[in-house]
Amino acid sequence: MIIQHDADGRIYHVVNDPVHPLVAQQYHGQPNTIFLSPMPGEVEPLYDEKGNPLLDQFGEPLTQVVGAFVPVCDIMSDYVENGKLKKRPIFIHPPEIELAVGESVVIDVPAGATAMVDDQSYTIDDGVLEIVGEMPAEYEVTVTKWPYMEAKIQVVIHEA
Amino acid sequence: MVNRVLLDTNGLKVSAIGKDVFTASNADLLLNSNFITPNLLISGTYTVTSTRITYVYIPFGKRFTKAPMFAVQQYLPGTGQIDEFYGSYDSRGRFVTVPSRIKLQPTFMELRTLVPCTFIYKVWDYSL
Repeated sequence: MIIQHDADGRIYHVVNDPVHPLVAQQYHGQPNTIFLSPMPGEVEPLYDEKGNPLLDQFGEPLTQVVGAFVPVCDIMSDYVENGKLKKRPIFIHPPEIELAVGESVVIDVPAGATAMVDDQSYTIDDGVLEIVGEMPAEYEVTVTKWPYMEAKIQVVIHEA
Repeated sequence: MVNRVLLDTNGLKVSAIGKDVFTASNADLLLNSNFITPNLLISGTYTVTSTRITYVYIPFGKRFTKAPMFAVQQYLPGTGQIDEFYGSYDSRGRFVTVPSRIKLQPTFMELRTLVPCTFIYKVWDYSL
């Protein structure tokens, strides 16, 4: 598998296995490109029909390789950090918040995240998102901070 | 019972059940050793994340003397699949193979603000 990503680790191109040598040649030496190869699976000992370990002529246990680890990459939920493929982290948040006018709630988000509400964006430097019920409304808050997965929070504010 | 297997100096043919291999058309043959079988050269996924990108090229690592066969599907977030093409060339110029690479061009010019747009592509080579 060949994975191409930008300087922040965002993956934009994945060439699936098996990668033909002609294709691999094109990508060797390119910046922000990593190669992941399928790896042999677990090594397991072999047994005879009575459950005794099988040995070779030198008395060493006979083994077999079972299966293989095939790399899998999801462009949307994975990213690359220091040349390693990783899952994008998720920050815990309530999917929906219901408030009365005059109430407020605080949600911990990654420091430096951006919250989008009705096409207006707000930077949350201290990692504390405070939602205040000023008037009855329903809207969606989208919180983004790379490499975290984007979070959407539905907010419903009703009369006190 | 009809004859279904023919091996002669022209090669090997196997016809479908009920079809005489001596008179069968190509569509009625399960195997004809004169057919060329393409092999998969490259397959992958490319996501366009910027509205400024009008097309991208995927290099093959070789130059083709005979047009390869390719399949491209294009997806938009929330919309699902919006376009696809299978064949050796696309007369509308959306997805085009050139001697050494495939050109992936988003087909949603009027919807260009919608990103990411994802292409899933496969290219088969007749000479592998």
